[in-house]
Amino acid sequence: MNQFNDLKEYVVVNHIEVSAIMESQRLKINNAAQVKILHGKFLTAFWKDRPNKSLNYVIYFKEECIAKLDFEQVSINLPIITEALKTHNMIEVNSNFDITTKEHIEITEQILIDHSNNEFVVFFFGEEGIDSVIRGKIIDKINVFYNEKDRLQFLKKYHISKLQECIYEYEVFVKEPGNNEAFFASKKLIATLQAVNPPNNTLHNKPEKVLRDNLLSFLNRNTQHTFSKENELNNQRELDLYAEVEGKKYLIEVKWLGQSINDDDSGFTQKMTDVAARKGVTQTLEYIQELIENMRYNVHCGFLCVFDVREIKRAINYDSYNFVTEDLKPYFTNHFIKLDEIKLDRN
Amino acid sequence: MLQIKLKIKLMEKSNNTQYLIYIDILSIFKIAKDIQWLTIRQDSLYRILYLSSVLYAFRHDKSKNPFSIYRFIVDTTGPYDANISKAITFLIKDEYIERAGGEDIYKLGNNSASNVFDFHLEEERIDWIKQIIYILGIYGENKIYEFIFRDPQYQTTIKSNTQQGLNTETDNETTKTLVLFKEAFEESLGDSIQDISSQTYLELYFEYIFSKILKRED
Repeated sequence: MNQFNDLKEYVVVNHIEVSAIMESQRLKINNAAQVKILHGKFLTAFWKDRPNKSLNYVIYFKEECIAKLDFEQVSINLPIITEALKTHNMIEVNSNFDITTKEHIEITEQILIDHSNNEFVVFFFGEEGIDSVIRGKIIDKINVFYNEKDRLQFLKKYHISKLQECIYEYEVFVKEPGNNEAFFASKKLIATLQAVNPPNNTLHNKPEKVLRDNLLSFLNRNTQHTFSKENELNNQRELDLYAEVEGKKYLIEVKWLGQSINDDDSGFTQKMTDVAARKGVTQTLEYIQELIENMRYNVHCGFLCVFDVREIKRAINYDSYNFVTEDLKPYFTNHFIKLDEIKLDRN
Repeated sequence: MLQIKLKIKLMEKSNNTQYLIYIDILSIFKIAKDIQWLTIRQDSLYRILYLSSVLYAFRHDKSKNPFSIYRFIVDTTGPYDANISKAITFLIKDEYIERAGGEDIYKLGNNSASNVFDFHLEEERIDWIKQIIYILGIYGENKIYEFIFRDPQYQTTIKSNTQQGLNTETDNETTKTLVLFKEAFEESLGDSIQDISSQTYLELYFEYIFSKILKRED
């Protein structure tokens, strides 16, 4: 089965490092659930919040503290450690993370190893992340598959609150050769259907699928979130894209303006105009209403995303949204955003 | 007096499914609180219990799954079980849990300290829930949906286009995937490392999936 080929390759290429991490896991200490939570949840967040990561420091404690770690006290005491780090860089704590010793020294690998051989669990906070030193061994990664750089890189991806910015980047993406061709019907076919002034922006038949899938894949690569499509939400309606972010639910309705090839390649479909855009608004609102009122899906925000693929692009007339009916107005006000249209032309 | 009567009534029903569900839900809150995860969303409760069910067989392939009291289906927001929904309603009504501001977010309530529910009766299931929460706690509540979405059994079920429930029996898709993961790892690591526990493999698997989430690979 090809499913884990990437994993196998990774393990083989990084054999020594992986073996070292796995070997360290065998030590009950590093493997203890409390240490993993302390490192993965509390210390990682603490490390991330330090503005100047080039200033290294060490936090260490006796191995016997592990069983008694009180995470409520840890949370309370970490800010006190932040204060102490202004003047010290080597801090010993107890199971509540109360400071028991603090010094300012030149930190060397040997010092860390010596402490670890004296039954201390040692955490070294460096530029790239946290090294743990346990029983004479330095482990520079908490785990096998990712490191702090990956986490920081991830945070550079768009958050849903910056969806509009992400869409602007997408508008540039669809202009690029290699990406642009995916949407449009062949020039040859268009010419056979209309030899004089062929409408070059003619889309493939049923373009909504191509547009949606293309946008979906871009969003998944460039945002911090997982977007999915219709039949994975419920098997009923044609929902376009949806995602859940920090417990809040979002959906994106995808519409297009322009013209496409019809079902049997014999002609063009009717042009999708401003009317389609206005209908898109209503449809999106109706779906938000249905989800909130009838299903367990509490939509925080529904977006309307319109691809403008018309030959000639004028401003779209939304009639100041006067067409929105009374029953849909609350959803319009509280749960709806129309994204700026994505202008798409064949290169 | 009322508390005692309730306690007796509930103890008589200690084999009762609903009673076990109360224990599970309250355990989730108590264990999460220990790692400073002070409020929990309603959706997270279903998801944590689903993961506890679907991952159990990989970890304990010889024992009967104590979470087989749950019958999850996929609804609009993910794994759902009507009995869990009923249990949440009861626990809110009797103030064992309470709203914590914001929609569908809860924390332990005024009555949670009462000893109506005897946790030590069901130690093994609570220990398993603890292990799941300690894994999820590393990544944060906001990532639970990402793990559910990528859960092999969940993916298989939503793609099947039928109304079937989520299979949490021994032969579920997630167990099969975890076994393949373990084999792939063992095969490539060779003899240099032995005796990695299934708990470690479970944690490694979550790290592997999380790395995919971070690197935006699927």
